[in-house]
Amino acid sequence: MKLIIAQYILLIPVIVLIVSTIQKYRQKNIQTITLVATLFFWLFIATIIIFPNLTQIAANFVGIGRGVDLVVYITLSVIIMVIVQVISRNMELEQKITQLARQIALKDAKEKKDTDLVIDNK
Amino acid sequence: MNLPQNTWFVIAAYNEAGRIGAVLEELMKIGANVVVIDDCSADTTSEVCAAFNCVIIRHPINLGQGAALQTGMDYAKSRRANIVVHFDADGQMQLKDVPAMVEPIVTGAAQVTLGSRYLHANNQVPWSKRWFIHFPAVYLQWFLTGLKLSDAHCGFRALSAEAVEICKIKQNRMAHATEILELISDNGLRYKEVPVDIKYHQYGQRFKKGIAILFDLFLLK
Repeated sequence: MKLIIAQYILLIPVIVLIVSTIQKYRQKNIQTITLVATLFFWLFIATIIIFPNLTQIAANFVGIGRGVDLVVYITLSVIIMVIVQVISRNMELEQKITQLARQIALKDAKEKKDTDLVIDNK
Repeated sequence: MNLPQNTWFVIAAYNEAGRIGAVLEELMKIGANVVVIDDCSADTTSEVCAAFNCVIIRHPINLGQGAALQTGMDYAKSRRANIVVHFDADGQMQLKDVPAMVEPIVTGAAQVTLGSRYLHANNQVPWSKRWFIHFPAVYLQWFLTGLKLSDAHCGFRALSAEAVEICKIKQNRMAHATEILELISDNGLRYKEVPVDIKYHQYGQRFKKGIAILFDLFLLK
């Protein structure tokens, strides 16, 4: 079996990500289950890169002409899902920051009459 | 000018050091309760306001006009305000219109009053602004909220205590104007449009900003 250059190039980030995942596990930054799941995922990707014909079988099964097309469709839908999630997370965060900033602002409200009163009491 | 007991003016200010002084001076003359929300201005807005007998709330970070108004309403609520008036910091809105704005709330005819620039026959609105910005906005508004108003986003509003309780503005930036109308229609609040005069210093918002507002509106749906 001989790999084409594109396959080598695509394999580099996958290998880097596998190594960094294992490192994270060693440093106990991630749990065992995350490690196993992540490794499975990247090994799956690596398998597809090395044996692209596997996607052809899956593509034929769902009725899409080319294996590459199937990969593109799946990747696109995953990316869109992630973007939607990121946006909604972002909005939640914005609301939380707003509430936080508002509480701080209200706590520090400068009320002229009241501060005058405090001075009078001294 | 006789304003009803415990009427609070909420003024959202962002970099308004040059104009807000004159607005506050007028408000102080009639002895109004004023809360200024300085939305983390880079200029001396807070210092200018400090010379007046008003409450100053400064956001630690810039959040936007919608967020500032909500902060002001939260404060007004804590002071048991009967009526909250949304007023601007740059002198576009005029004090002479306030009695007409609060009157329907005092009599119970409405829970929210919305200022309208177009109910007056001879308004000062530039024609390009009227036809290319406000006209489409009115119809989009109608589509989004079910309220058909003569003026979409005047920004001059008066709210009763119940309305303040119900209106929780979540749109931090400029889309709050439409959000408030949605809150009115969703909660079945009684509203009334009141003709007001708006002085134009310059073109308010640019077209690009308008697109950003649309983006906000549809995303928070």
